Amino acid sequence: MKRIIVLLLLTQSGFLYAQSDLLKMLSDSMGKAKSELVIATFKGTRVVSAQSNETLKPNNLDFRIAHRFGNIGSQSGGNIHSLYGLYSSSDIFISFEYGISNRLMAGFSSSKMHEELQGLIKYKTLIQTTDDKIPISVTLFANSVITPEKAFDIRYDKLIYRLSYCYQVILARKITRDLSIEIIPVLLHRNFVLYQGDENDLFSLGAAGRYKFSRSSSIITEYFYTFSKFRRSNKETPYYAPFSIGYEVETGGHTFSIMLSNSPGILENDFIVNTTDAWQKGGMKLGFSISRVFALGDHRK
Amino acid sequence: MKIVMKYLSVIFLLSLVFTIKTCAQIIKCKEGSVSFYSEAPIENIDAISKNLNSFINLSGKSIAYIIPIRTFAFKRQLMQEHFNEKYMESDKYPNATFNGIINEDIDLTKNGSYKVTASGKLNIHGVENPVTVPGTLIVKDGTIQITSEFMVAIKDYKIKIPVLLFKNIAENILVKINALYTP
Repeated sequence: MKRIIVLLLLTQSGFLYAQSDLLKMLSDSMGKAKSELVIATFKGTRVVSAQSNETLKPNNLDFRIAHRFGNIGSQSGGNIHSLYGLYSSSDIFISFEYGISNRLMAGFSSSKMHEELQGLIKYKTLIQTTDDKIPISVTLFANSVITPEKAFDIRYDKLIYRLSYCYQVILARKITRDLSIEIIPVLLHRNFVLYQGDENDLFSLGAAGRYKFSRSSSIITEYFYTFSKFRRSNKETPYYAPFSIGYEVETGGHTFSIMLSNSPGILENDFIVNTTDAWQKGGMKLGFSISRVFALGDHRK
Repeated sequence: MKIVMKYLSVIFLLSLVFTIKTCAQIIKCKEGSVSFYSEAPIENIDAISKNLNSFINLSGKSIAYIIPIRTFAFKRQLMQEHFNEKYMESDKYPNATFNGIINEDIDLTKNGSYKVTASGKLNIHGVENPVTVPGTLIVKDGTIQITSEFMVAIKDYKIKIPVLLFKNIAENILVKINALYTP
């Protein structure tokens, strides 16, 4: 009896339903929303200077110029005569990067600081999904860097001494539509180190994030800690963990960011492990970066 | 009690018959696409989705559409990402929908080509507006082909375009619908 009434009610309601709301019926027939790949965890391929989980879209060419000025604080040499660092440039970074597929990109860059020439490759192994079946995005990064700079000591006696390699696993999650964070384990290998006791292989752990406070603007920040006995116990020239904070704005194809950072370098092989300026001593510098993406070709074809 | 049972069973069977009848009158769009186009000084914007979901009710002449925003494909993938993330906010408003009726007094079971209009509610970006759109409807041996073209003013749907980009994105977008319904 009860069963019949339930059935009756069900069929009756189905009947009413079909009559009154075709849209609801259509929506029900489509089932639950399909799981999608999460997009735009970060705006560009970098957070401040650190790699983000993002790669370039296929057939997109990214031209990037990044600049880091000199120290602002007087304790670290900044004063009115250097216009608080604006008259000097600790590093200038220029790169061309290209999206090969949906997940793979490669690029080339040059830096002013040690004239480093970098070849880089970046691959998205996992992409976070909206249903959280894949809760994080995982991107792999690797580069090789060679420096042609002149030195008056033994550091570049052999060609092979000029090389270094950096490997990263970028674990990122878009937590809300505005907040994204990432954790970056980094392995850096340098074929030659100048100072006795310095390690050829260095392991670092980084964290970076962005908070989007309007449709196009975000606050970006990053921090790296390097596990190194040499760095911890070096009293003469103390090393500091690089910490950067900046503002990023994106206007359809251009991404512009302006930041404060204690790292003089912009390339990962340099800034993650070789930062000897400290925020607490006025060693922060102003910097900016401009990225312009040129879309080549029609990706639907 | 037994009488009540019998009575209920009859109603139940009747309602079942009615339900089947109603279902049979609804036919589904098996092949459909929706595209939009906007001419702009710097770069024309066009996108197409082949994921048009639609039902048409032959007796009530009611018609419903659902288009998942994420299925629109652009020439430029970066533009597609911006379209989803910044303008349509497809994570918040995943679908565009239309729910309406065909105004003209036509028989959707008879072969022929009809110029029609449909009135109903168009929902884009979470904003619902009453609209009347023109279209052509071709009935042929139980299949129905609908084509329609109409303009959508983006400001009516609270889609914000930054001042800087205004010249890049037109204020009115031409939407084209093509749907084939087969029973």
